[in-house]
Amino acid sequence: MREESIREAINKYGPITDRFILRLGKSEEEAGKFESWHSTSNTFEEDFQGFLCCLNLTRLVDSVEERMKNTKKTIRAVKKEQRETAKALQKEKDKLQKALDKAAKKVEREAEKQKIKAEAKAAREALKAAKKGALCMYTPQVLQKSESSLLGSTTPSTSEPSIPATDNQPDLEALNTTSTPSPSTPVQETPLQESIILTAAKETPRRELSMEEMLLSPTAIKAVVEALANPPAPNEALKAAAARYEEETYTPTFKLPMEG
Amino acid sequence: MSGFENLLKKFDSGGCEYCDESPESELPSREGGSSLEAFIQKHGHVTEEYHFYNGTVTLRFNVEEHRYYRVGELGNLIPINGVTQTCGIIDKSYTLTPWAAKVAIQKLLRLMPTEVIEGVIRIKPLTFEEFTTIALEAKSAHKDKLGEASDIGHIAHKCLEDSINFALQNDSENIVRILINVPTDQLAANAASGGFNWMQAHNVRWVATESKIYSREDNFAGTMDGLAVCDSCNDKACCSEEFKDHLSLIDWKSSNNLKLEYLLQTSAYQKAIMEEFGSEQ
Repeated sequence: MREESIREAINKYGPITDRFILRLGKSEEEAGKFESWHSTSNTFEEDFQGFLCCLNLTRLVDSVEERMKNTKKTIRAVKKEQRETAKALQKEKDKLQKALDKAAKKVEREAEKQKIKAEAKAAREALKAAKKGALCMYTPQVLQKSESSLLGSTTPSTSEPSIPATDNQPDLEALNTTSTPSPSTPVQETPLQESIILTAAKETPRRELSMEEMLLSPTAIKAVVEALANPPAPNEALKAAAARYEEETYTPTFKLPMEG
Repeated sequence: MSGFENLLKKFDSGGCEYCDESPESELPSREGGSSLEAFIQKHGHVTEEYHFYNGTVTLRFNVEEHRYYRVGELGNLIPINGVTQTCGIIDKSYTLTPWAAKVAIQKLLRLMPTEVIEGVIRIKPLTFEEFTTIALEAKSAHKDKLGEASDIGHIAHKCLEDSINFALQNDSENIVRILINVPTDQLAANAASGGFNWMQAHNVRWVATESKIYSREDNFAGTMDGLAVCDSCNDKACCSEEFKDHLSLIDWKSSNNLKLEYLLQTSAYQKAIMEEFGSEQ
């Protein structure tokens, strides 16, 4: 329809020659006003060239803007990548630091453990030393008696076990008397062993013995006494420990110059 | 029937299941349009197709973006430059800046609270905060002004457009004998009346109105207000030379003055029309 009418008009009246711009005023002063602007065919070329310049400029501006947009996009993408890389690096670094911290803590814990172990060992040795003295007061018979009284009863006794205190003189005497060999005590004590037991019993400080200390078997007591009587030759570990002890407890007999 | 065809049928049979819009809202008429056409128009925000050069070129217009697209061989939409948008690159700040300042001051003076004391208009005492609020509101006066003005221009243009269409459909000579849908706004009615008087003075016989144009050579598109056959008027300020039955391009503008870009725009419309139909002569 549109095409037909335009084609028909051009065929009938010839090409478009004139242009009318009809202005409808819009400001308070101009509103309602009407003005026409008539352009003839001789102005067309100039006007159209002006339009083409605008068109080219618009396309150039669009093109440059597109390029700028793409550049910005690329920069943003690169920056994003850099940020992500930095983030990943930082993450790895943190991970490594965490692992290092963990390892350090482990070492620290290990050292602490060793320290505790050493302290426990020292305590055990001290206890052992103390025990040596305490245990020497009992003959296998006495211990066997007390052991059987403890293990033999089905109901736990509410009263204190009848274990003689170290400062109990009759007990010491009993120890003395029971130091003779008997069928129930297969340990054959020598006079040296007897004297060691007696000396230990005398020199042991007065104290209460715990249940654990009393529950040592006769075999164990025999082994302790045996070891005291016939100590084995020191092994390498003992030699090294002795050397360390010497080193740690060494005090020079002479004075250093700076000590005056 | 395939899933895609089912989907298209839904659009054809009455609206979109995903929105509340009525099926016919905001849609141009679909003369013989397929389901796919309806789908594209509804969700592509484009109008129906416009055909040029004996149907070898097809354009679509995005109303929201006010952009033209040429339909490519594969049905893809290629953006093309619009005439109005192209002329918008001409700098107008030298006239717009003083005007914006003027309307801002006018609004500021209107908004300032005043009182009459002993017959003298005085500004009421204001805190600095209150004055700042008023000043910031006045700052956007140019936007209010543009909206108001474009409404008046739009109403007048609508009246003229309706009258021209009425003449094209009902008058054997395509002459606007009366104005129809005359606006109630006096300013708009005055503007429409001015246009009617101009039509009578130039014995305007309309050929086409609100017609899309496309230049294949320079790849631009636009909407021409009208094409008419005119005679010269008696006013020498308007028509310096006498003429009769000149095929003329008509462009309505709502503006306070005639601008350079209007000349460039109309020349572009003229070029596109002559490029498409002139070669057939």
